[in-house]
Amino acid sequence: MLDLASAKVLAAGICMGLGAIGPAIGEGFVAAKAMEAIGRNPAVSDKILPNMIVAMAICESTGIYSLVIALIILFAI
Amino acid sequence: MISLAAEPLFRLGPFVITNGVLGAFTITGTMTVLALLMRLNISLIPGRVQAGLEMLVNFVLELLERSFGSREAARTFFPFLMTVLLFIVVANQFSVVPFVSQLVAGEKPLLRLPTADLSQTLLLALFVIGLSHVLALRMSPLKHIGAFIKLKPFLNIRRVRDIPQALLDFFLGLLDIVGELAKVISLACRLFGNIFAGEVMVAVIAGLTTLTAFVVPIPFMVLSIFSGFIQAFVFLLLSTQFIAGTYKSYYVESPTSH
Repeated sequence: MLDLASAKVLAAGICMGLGAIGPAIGEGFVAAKAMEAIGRNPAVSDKILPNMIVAMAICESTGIYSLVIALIILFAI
Repeated sequence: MISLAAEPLFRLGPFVITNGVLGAFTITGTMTVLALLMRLNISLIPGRVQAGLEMLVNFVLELLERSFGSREAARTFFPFLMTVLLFIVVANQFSVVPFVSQLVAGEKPLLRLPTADLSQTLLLALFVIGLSHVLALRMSPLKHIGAFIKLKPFLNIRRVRDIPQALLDFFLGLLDIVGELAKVISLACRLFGNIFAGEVMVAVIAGLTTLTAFVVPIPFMVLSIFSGFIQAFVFLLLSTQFIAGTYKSYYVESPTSH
């Protein structure tokens, strides 16, 4: 049986580790497609880059949720 | 020790002043003084700083113009969005300023990054989403409320078969209300999570052993500086999208009121 402190640390680690998988894959896809588009037409890279960053930030948000939950588990409960 | 919430320092009447709020006041005060100094030295032939700032202003104005569709509307919302951008950019890089993180009041740090305080990012997000809704309600109140509480499909019912579709539309409208709340939370948590995670990362690496306290945190600091700029830009872009979305969808109906 785990005591509360070790359960909290374990939960935060699992939460962050699993939560980081999805955004990593998603951001990889976004970056890959953006690079592909830039490679096909280098002239539009100025327009693609900000859009890519915004799309990445939105992909990242699920990772950020799990981070916030991990932080709440660690510090606030 | 890192704490998730901003720590209260003292009371000012009914308000509790936390170190995050003190950080925000410091940044606002410094930026106001700098802006006034900049205004004194403004000239027709720009110096290096003025040219850089003019480039930034032009860049943001063009970005807003593309989102809002007209220069006039872009100029209306420019002051608010530019203020948000400047505040977040400076607030994210606040910990890089020497001696800021060393100042302590008793046990607690005296200043804290305002964007590493969930209350303040939540405030910024609430203001942006609230502004978009107030704007929409002022332009066409009935249509905006109707977009969330969808009673119109019930009026179009001709046959019994249409009833499930109308019910579905109604519940989808209710789900959109949840979506609006989720927008606020995601906008606030994204900024808070990134900046606070950067802080925690540097603190953890620096506090790991004596060996890692000096040179090893530098790459992580560079990463958090970079993500600070990116997140400020992302906050600007997303809030522009939210405001421009409601602005554009209701602007056609009443062009006189904006």
